[in-house]
Amino acid sequence: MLAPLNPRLWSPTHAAHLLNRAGFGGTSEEIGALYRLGMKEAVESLLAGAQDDMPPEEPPAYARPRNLQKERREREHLSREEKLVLRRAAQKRERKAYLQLTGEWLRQMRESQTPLREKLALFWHGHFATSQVKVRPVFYLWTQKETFRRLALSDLSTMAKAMLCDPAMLVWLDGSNSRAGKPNENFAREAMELFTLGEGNYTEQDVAEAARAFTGYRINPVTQRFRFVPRQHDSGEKTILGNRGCWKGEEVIDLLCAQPACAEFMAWKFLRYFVSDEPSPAWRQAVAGALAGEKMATGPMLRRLFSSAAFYEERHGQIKAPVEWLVQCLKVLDVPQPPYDRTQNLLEQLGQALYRPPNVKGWEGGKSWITTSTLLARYNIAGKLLGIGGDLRGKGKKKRGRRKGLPGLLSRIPERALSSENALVQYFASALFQEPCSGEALAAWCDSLKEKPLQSDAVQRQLLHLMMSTPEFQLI
Amino acid sequence: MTPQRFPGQTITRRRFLRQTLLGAAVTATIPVFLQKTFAAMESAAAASPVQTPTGRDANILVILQMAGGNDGLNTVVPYEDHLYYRARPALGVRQADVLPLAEGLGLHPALKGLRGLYDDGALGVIRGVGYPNPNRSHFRSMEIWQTASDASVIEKHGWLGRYFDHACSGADPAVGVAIANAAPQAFSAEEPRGITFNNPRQYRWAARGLDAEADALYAQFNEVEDADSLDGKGGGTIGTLGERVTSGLSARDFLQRTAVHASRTSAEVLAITRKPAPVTALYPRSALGNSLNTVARMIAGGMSTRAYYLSQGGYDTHRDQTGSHARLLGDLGDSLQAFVRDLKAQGNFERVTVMTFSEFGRRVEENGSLGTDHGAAGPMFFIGGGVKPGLYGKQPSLSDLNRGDLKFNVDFRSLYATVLEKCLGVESAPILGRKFPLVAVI
Repeated sequence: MLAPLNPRLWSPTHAAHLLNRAGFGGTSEEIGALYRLGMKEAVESLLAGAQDDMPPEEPPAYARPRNLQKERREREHLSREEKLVLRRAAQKRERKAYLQLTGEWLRQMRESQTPLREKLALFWHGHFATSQVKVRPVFYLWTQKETFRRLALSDLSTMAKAMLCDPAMLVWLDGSNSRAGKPNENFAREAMELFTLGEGNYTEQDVAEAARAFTGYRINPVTQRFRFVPRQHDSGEKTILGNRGCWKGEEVIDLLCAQPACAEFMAWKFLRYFVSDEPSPAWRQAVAGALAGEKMATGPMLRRLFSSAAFYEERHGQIKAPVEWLVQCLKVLDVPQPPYDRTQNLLEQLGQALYRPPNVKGWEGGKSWITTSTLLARYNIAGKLLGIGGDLRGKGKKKRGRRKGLPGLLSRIPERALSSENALVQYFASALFQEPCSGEALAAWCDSLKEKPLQSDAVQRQLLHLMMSTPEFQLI
Repeated sequence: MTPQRFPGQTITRRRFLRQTLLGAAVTATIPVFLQKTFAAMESAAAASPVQTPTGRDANILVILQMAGGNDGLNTVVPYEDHLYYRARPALGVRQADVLPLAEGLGLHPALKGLRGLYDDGALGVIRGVGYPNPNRSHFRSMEIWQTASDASVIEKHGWLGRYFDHACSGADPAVGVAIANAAPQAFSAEEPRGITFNNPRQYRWAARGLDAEADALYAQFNEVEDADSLDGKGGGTIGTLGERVTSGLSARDFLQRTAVHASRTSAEVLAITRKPAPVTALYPRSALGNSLNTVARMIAGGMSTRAYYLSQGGYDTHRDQTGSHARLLGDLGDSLQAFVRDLKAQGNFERVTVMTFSEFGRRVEENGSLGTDHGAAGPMFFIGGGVKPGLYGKQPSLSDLNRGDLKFNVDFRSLYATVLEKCLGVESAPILGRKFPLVAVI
C-alpha cells in the first residue's frame, strides 16, 4: 500500500488532494505553488513546517496562569455575596478567554503557512480529547494545545508522556488527585483503551496496576504547572501486561507504546483521519508496519503515506470534519472569520466545537459527522458566509448597518470566467471541488444562470451557495 | 393525496440528477442506490396488506440515556443495608434523606419528581440490570447496550436500527427521532432512517423561499424525483450522541440519503415548533428539560415517529460526586415529571413509555477522590401510562460481588424485548437475535 507514486504522475489534482488531507485545502494559487514543487519537495515542505523546532512561547494575555492558592487566601475575609460577585466575574472572564482560545486556534489553522502542524494538532486534540466542560482554566487548555502543536510530528510515547504531565489532562482524567493507596483509575483506563492499545488488549488488573504507577502526578497550585510529588506516588512493585517492576508512569507509557497492538490501533486512527473513513485491512497493516518500524514516530510514517500512490487514489471519499469544512470554506471563499463568539456557535451547530469533544473518546468522525441537522447546518452556514439567509457579523456591527465586503473569491474572478455561464460555473467548480464535475451537474448550474447578469455578485453568491449545498461538497 | 409540504410552492415532478457531481466512476451507483432504497421502500409499502402503525396513533417509545455510567446504588438506595454505608462512608445517602419506595429501598432525595410518579402509579423500577461478562469501558459497554449484542460479539448495527430495518420498511423515514448532536449508535442500520436535531428552529434550509429557481435547483441536488409518491408523511429521527454510525451505504450515498431525509422532514418539524407552545408543564431550564419539551411538542404535533432518543450526560462521577450527582438526578426527575404532566394534558400519556438506561453502574466501594469508578449492574426506570408500577428484578447483593461490582440478575435485552413487543408491537426475536424473557413492567 505504501509503494511510492511515480513522480511523473504528479498533477495539480494530486497537489490539491495533498493540501486537503495534510492541511485545510487552499486556493488555486496555493495548490499551484505546491504542485510546482514536485511531489517529493511538496511532501517535505509540509513535514518541515511541522518539526519540533517551535520556540517556547509565553501564554498570551487571555491564557495567563492564575495563582489559585493566592486568590483563595485573598478571598477568605470577604462575605459570601462578595465572593459570589468575584466568582461570577471570573467565570465570565474565563468564558471569554475560552472563546478567544478556540477562535485564535481556528485563525491559526486558516492562516498557517505550516498547515500540517495545525492539522496534526487537531488530530492529537481528538486523540487526547479534553473538554473545557470539566477543565476550566484557559491556561491549561492553551498549554495543551501548544504541546499538540510543538510535538505534532513526535512519536506517540513522547506525546503520551507529555499528556501524563499535562495540567489539562491531569484535571480531565482526575490524575491530579490520584494518590498512593487510593489510586483513581480514570487516566490509567483511558491511557490503555483510548490513547495506546484499544479495548480488549489489556485486563482490568492492568488498569488497576497502572493506576498505581500514575499516582503522584500533580499540579502546583501556585505556578499552575506540573509537579511530581514523590510521597503521593506508589513506588511499589506492579505487574503490567506481564511486566513486573516498580514502574513509574513514564515507564508504563513506554510499555504500552511497545505493544504490537499499539501500532495497529494508531494506524487505524491515523488512517481514519488522513486517508479514509473505512480503511481497508491492507491499509491498516501497511501503516501499522510503518509505525512499528519507526518506534511509533509520526513523521516518517506520514512521509511514506503522503508519497504513496494508494494515498492519491483515496480522493473525494472522506466526509470533511466540521472544523476542516469551516476552515476550507473561509480559505476558498476568502471571507473574514466570524467574531469568536459566533465561530464557537457555528462549530457547535456543525458538531465539532474545539475543546468540547462529546467525551474522552473524541469525535467519532466519518458518517457520524453527518445527521439531518448537521447537514442542514453546513448548507445554512455556507449561505451565511456568502450573505444569504443571514450573515455572521458581530451584533454591534449589524446595528451600524455597514455594507459587508464581498468574498475575496468574487473580487478575483478573471475576465474570461465572466465570458459565459459555462466559464463561470467551471471557475467556481474548480475552486470548490478540485475534481472535474459531471456534465449533468455543470449543465444544471449553467441552466440556473440563463438570462442572469453574470457580473452581479448576488448571482455569483447564489451559485456558490447552491454548489456548496450539495452532498458532494461535504466530501474531500 | 398530495401533501403540501412547502408552503407557496407546488411540488412538481423533478428531474433528479442521474449522475453524481464528481467522477464518472460513481455515476452508476446513484440510480442503483435509489432503486435499492426508495423504490424498495415504496414497493414494500404497496405490498403490505396493513398500514404500518405510526406515532400519530400507535404507541411511542422514549429512550433516555444517562450517559457516563450512573451510580445506581446512590440512585435507588438500599438504605437498610449496613454494607451500603460501610462501602460508602462519605458518599452514602443518609437514611433520613432517602425517599422510601419499598423493600428497604428508596430514591435519592433529588428524585422528588420520580417519587411523585411512583405515587401516581406511573413508575416501574427494574433492579440489577446488566449483562454477562460486563465491560467497564464506557465505549464498549455503551456499544453493547446500543447494539444489544453479547459482550463477546461486535454487532454492526443498532438495536433500533434493526427494528427499523425489520419492521419499518415502507414506513416514514422519520420513524425514529434523536434529539442530540450526533446520531445514536442504536439507530445505525443497513438503510439509515430517521432524523437528528438539537435545535428544531435551525432545522431547515435557511435560503428557502428567497428565490424560486434556487429552491428548485437545491431540490434537484437534495431531493429525489417524484418525492410525492413516497409516503410524504414527514417525521424524523433526531440523534446526536457522538457515537459510531454505521450503514450499508457509501459515504456519498449516505450523504445523499441524509440530504433527502433532511429536506423531507424539515418543513414538518419547523411547522410543529412554530406553533405556540401550550403552557401545560414547566420544564427545568436544562438541556434535558428542553429536549423532553421538544419531544412532547413533536408528539402533540402528530409526528409519525415511534422512537425518540435523548441523552443526559455527566454521570461519569469519578470525583466529588455528591453535588453533581444530585444535580443530575434532580434535573432528571423534574424534567420527567414535567414531561408526564405535559403528555397527560395532551391526552397522549397512555401511548407513551419512557425507558432510562446507563452503560453501567459504578463500583460499590467509593474511591479516594470522593467519587466512584466504573462498575456493572444498575437500575432502569420505566415511566408511562401503560407501565405497571412497582419494583422488578432483585436488588443485587452487597456481599456477593464480582470484582467489587454488583451482579446483574436481569439482562437488559429482556427490557428491549419487552418494549419491542409490548410498546412497539413487533416480534423481538428477529431483532434481538433470540428470545429473551419479558419483564411484566408493561
